Order: sequence, then C-alpha cells, then structure tokens
Amino acid sequence: MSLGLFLLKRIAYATPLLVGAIVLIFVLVRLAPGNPVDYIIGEMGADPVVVARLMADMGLDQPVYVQLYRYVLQVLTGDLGHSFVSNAPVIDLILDRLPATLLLMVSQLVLSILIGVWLGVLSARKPGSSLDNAITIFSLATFAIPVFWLGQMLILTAGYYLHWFPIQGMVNFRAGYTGWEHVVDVAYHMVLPVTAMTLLNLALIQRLTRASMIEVLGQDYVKVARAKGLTEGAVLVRHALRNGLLPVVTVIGLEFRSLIAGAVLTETVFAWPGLGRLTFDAIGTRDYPLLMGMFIFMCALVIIGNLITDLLYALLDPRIRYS
Amino acid sequence: MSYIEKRRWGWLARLATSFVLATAPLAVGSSVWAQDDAAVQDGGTLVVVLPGDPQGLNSALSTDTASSNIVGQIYGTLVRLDADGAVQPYMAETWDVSEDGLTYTFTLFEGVTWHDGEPFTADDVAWGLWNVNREYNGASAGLLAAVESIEATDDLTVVFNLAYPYPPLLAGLAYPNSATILPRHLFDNGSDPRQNPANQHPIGTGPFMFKEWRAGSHIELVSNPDYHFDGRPYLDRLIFQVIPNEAARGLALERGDADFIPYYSMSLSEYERLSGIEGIAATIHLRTIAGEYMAFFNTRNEPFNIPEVRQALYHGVNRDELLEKAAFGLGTVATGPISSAQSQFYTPAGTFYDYDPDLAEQMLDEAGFPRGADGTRFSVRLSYDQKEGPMTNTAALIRAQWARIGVNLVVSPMESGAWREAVYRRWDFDIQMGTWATGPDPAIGVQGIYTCETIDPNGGRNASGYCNEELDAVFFEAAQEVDHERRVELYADAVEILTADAPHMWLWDRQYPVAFDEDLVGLPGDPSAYGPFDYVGWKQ
Repeated sequence: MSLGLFLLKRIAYATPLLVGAIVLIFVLVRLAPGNPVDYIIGEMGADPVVVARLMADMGLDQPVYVQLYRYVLQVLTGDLGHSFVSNAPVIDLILDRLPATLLLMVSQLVLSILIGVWLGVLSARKPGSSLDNAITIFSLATFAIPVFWLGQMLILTAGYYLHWFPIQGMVNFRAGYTGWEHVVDVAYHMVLPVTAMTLLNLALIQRLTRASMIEVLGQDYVKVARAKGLTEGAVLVRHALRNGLLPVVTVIGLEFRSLIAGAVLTETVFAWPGLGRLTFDAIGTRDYPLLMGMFIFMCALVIIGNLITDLLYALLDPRIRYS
Repeated sequence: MSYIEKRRWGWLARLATSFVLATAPLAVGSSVWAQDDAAVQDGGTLVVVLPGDPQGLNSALSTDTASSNIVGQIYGTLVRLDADGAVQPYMAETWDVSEDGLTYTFTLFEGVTWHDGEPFTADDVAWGLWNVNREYNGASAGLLAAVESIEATDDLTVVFNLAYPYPPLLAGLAYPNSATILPRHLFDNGSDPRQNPANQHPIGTGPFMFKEWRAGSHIELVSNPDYHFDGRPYLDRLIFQVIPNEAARGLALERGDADFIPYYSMSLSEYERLSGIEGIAATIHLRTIAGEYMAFFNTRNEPFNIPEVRQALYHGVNRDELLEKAAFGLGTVATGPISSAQSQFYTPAGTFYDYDPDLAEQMLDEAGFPRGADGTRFSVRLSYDQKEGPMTNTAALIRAQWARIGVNLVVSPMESGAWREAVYRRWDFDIQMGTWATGPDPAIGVQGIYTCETIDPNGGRNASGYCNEELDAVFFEAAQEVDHERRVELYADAVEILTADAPHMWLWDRQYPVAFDEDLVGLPGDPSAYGPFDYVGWKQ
C-alpha cells in the first residue's frame, strides 16, 4: 500500500473520531456548573433584562442540542467563533499563542529526546555500573520533582540570586530588541523554562531507552554484530538503538497531547505567553467558544502526533508496512 | 492632603472646585504618592505587572479591573478623580448640575483629537455612552439608569437629562469600567460592538496610544503627542507585562524587570516581604470601590432564617484573628455593610458583634439549638471561590472558632464558575463568602446585594435572599436624595437595620497594597484606581 493511500485512510479514520470528540466535549463543557454571563456581569450583578439579552446573544438560551447543532455547522464552515470574554476571534487567539508554545515545546522535546536517549544508551551499556546508578538516581530525581517547584527554584537560584538568566516572559520589554538581537533575547529567556521541562521529560525517555536497550543488547543479532568485529559504537547505535527506539517512539507519540496540557504549569511559572495559560483562563471564565476551539485544536494535534508516530515506526523498522 | 499633592492638582482644583458636589474629603494617606513634580524626567519606560491577559481593551463593554486600568490610559472619561476623590476635569473642561439635579451639562476641551487624528466631539460622548456602554455593560446600565437621554447640543456640549436626581452620576462618570468614551466613527457601523476590531486595537483620547498586544506576554502603549494636557505624559512608553506567577512578581520588581505592582496584581503575603526591601516603596492604595470581605447567610435555609442564630454565629467569629492571620493585618474589622474606607458615607452606626463565644452559646441554646450528645449543635456548609486569596485561611479559622461553640463547619472551596452558579443561580449554599465592593457610592456598591428586587437568579446578586421592605424604602430614598448630609443619615439608617438583622457577617474592610520602584513619582492615588498615568515619571 502506498504512503499516500495510507495517509488518506488514517485521515478517514480520524474524522469521525474528531467529530465524536467535539460532541462529547461540547456536552461535557456545558454540563459543568457555571456560565460565562455570570462571569461577565461580575459581582455587582446586572438587570435581568440585560442578562437575558446577553444569554440570547451568545445562544445560551437555546437547548444544548440546538447549540451543538449550530456550533457544528459553524465549525464546518471553518469558523471557530468569537470568544465570549475577549470578543476576539477564537482562531486569532489560538494562532497568536501557538508560536510561543511550539518554540518551547519543540526545543524541550528535541533536547530531552537527545539527552534522554544518550543517557539511556550510556546506562544500558553496563547495567548496574556506577555510571548507570548515577544516571538512574538523576533521572528518578528529576522525574519526581514537580515542574512548578523546579521552575520556582531555577528562578530563585539562576535568576534571582545569580542573575544569570531572566526570570519571566519571553523578551526584554525595556530594551525592545529587533532582528538578531531579538532572537538572542528570546533564546536567553528560553533557558530556564526549557531547562525545567527538559529535566522533567528526559527521565521517562532515559528509563525507557535503558530498559529497551538492555533487552535488545541481549539478543542474538547483536552478538552476531559484535562477532563480526564491529566497533562498539556501530553495534550500539546502528544495530541496537534502531531496534530499541521503537517503544520510546510510541511513548513520545502518546506524550504529544501533554505538550499543551503540560505546558500550563511551566508557562504559568515563567510567564511564557503560550496556549497552556490560554486554556486555563478559558476554563475559569467558561469561555465556551475558546474552550471548544482549544479542544478541537488539541484533538487535531494528538491525531497528527499519532500519524507521525506511525510514519516513524515504518522508518525505523522496515518490517512494519502501511497495512 | 500633603502640600505637594495639593500643588500637583492645584491648577485642576482651581478650575473645578466650584462645580464639585458633596466632597467631604477622603482621608488619603497620600504622602508616598506625592512627589516633587519639578524633578521628573521627560521620557522613560514604565513596566506595570498584570496578573493575566485583560479580557479585551474596551471597558465600555467589560468591568474587568486590569482592563480598566489599561483602558484608562488609552481612552478618556468625561471627568476624573483626584487623590481626595474629588471630581476633576478630564475630557470635559467644565460642567454644571442644575438645581433640581435633573440636568448635567458638560463642556468639552476644545481641539481634542482621537489617536487616529479624527476630531473628538460631544457626539462621540452622547452616542457611545447611550448605545454601547448602557447596552452592554451592567455597571454602566446601573450608573445611567436615571438618565433619560444624552444629547450633544453642539460639538463641545453634552447634556444628560435625568428622570430623577441621581447624585452618584458625576463621580461615576470618572470610572473607565462604566463610562469610557468610545469613538463613534469606529463603532457606529451597524455591527456588534463586542466584535469590533478596535477592542483589540483601541483608538482613544487618553495620554497613551495603543501600540501592540502580545497575548499572554504584554501590552505596549506609547505617549500621545497631542494629549490635551500640555507637557504630559512624562513617560514615552508604558508596558503592562503579564506575570501569572504570584511569587515571581515581587522578584521581577526587585530585579528591576518590572516597576509597579498595582493592587490587582499584589498578593497580601508578597506585600509583607516587599515592605522590607530597600529601593521599593510598598504602600496602601485607598480606593472608593471600598471592598469588604463578607459572608452571606442563606436566609432561606434552616436555621439561618432565624435572626438570633445568625447573630449568635456572628458573635462566634473572632474577626481580629481573621484580619491578623488571614489578611496579614491589611484592613480593619468591619462594623457593617459600608466599608470604613468609604469615608464620605461611612458612619460607625449599628450593632457591633464583638467576639463572645459564651454569649453565642447562650443565644444558640435559647434559639432552640442545644448541643447534641456529640457536643455538636448543627452542621453548616461554607462555600467560597478558591481563587479569592485569603478565604482558605479564613475558612479554617472560622471552622476552629465555631467548633468552640458547638457548630460544625464543612468547608467547601469551589472553582470560580461553579461557585457563581451555586451562589447566584441555584442558591445552593448555607454560608458563602468573598469580597464585594461597597463603593464608589452606596447606591452603586451596597444597595445591589440587599434589596428585594435583586433576589433574582438572572443577574441579581442578593444571594442571601434577605428581603425587608423598610430597608428597600431607605435605600431607594437615599439613592435619589440630592442633599449629601441627608444621604449619610439615610445610609446610617440602612446600616442600623442590616446590622440588627445580620443577613451577612461583615468580616473586614479591605486595604489594597501596592509596591513600586522608589524612583517612580506621581502614581495616581485616585480612588478609582484606574486613573491615567499622565503624571507618572522617573526622578531626575
């Protein structure tokens, strides 16, 4: 089966999944107590006439199934609607925040995969050695530390006392850099949040790589490779790692969804202007259109993540074919 | 009022004192705010801390506090308040209130333009307040309830015609969260003002012009070269930076990354720490919004329908302890429904419920709720919005205090949306607590949570369900009375009635701490707390 057909098939599977997710989330969100009008009018209250008009304007006076029907029609035309709270188009709100989250997430993902796999291979080479023990202790420790605490400690030490790195935000507002200076400024601001998230995520990858590599290294074909007289590096990387990475790829693929969910804490601690914080605020204010927009976006991301995982499988293991 | 404060506002005050109504001066601890104007740099950047993104940049539509502060820099209002709460010219140069209190005539400053160069006229004022603010903003609808029409009689004259006298109107027009003036040429286009692009890219008449809004990061404003107060603002750039992490706000101020933490970004515990740090001024911002922490009894439910039970429970609360331990001493024990910070209307009238657990026990015995075999009289639920800072500690303290009088308190912190639903729509609570404004005028802040007509699940805020026609009559008379002294008397009557019946427990009157770089001068001490930063600058 060709790659194109495989992709088409996967997308065909994904569509009813996405629609199902929209319906389920829509109903769940409306079932949660609270509504946006009560948030908007505040603790001073408002005239019932005004409240009734606001409800009608937002379509909240209709039964849930009518609201759902209207919403699905609207989404099918490619319109995610306007936020109830800020009144801005939902798609703009999401796209505005997406680059910051992607920057943070991709950087930490790449770093934690590189470092995690490297440490995993190192410790699998001689299980039980002092190096393996040291790496194990390190990764268990970073895995156990809550990210908000780790972030706070990084802010206090590297930021506040040592003055090495900026502690909040993405750019230096006072300086207002442009061009290359701006790029360097953003990179400088990324150091602490990326460090915090990388430390958290590399542990899982290190543990998985280690376990899977130990298993692979005990197999016959590795012995054959060694017997052929290949260098240790070639055995580890070209023969063993390629096989050992499969479970690691699975887990990273599954972790895709937590890219945004997990960003909430980090983005809050470091005032990083990403999607995590946007979602969190939308829940607090019962901003239904924005919430739905975010959920649809996350569903799409998970589906894309799984697709990439499947493709990577085939790349790593020629025995897997698109069928 | 200090000498310097007086001088700063002197020229404004000379223009306006003759028009000012009812200005028993507020006791403002203004010494920290007041600095020597002559030594202010022309230029510079100010970074203000925001707790999160504002809802939008149009306070004609939203009453959100942080939005109002930003919008108050970009848009203008007809009048503004000085540090004493007195009304001063802003977009209107002069005004006149007719003898019968039914006609307000404002004359605008000449030659003012919108930030896009269009002329600013009386038509903008009349059209926007009537067609946008009044239609879409609950607070504004309340403020303008007495107004029958707003007319632009010529380019510079706006006339408000009232159905009945409403003295709070003038000071109310200084609040950006209800009286922001929008540009008609951008909003009168037949489409929904809530979806107008200007809500993200506002064009105003204020001292600062909008430059950019990076959601989740910051909002940048630059000075308006055509601002109608000559030589102002001092600052070139004004940046509102989002810092959601409470603990990091103080660190950012200490490092010099941020310069000013306004009250809405300040946590009480952080204030205590910052007070001791060199180079940082930490002080209290007096606000006529005069917030008060209070607990509502659900008077529909047994046993809170019995006044003696409510009074007994009130006697069982040690409010000194709450204030000291939950609020870090930032406030004063409340005496009733009007905060002592609301000094134009506050009187220490009414019944005061001092901490007296023995009396509380005796009253509960007499009301028919003796201790049971397990030592408990009854169990009650206490709900609050978990986001409301000091409430968690307050709940724990009340639980311990009431355990002594045999009342078992079940504490239930709630998510904000769920809490509003339970409290205001379903009335599903025994006792609920939080903070409510009692200002800027009791007709705006206080009345709306006690009158019978506000017992309404659709937007009404009288959650306790307390209804007393005698009290309603007093409130309605006070709201329409023109004579200030008489209004103060009427509100004292209202306080008498309410404290005697105790549908609420009034816990403590809030103070609003702020912190800023000591080299900063001229931060507005105005009690709306949204005032423009046109006098703010850095020391030479």
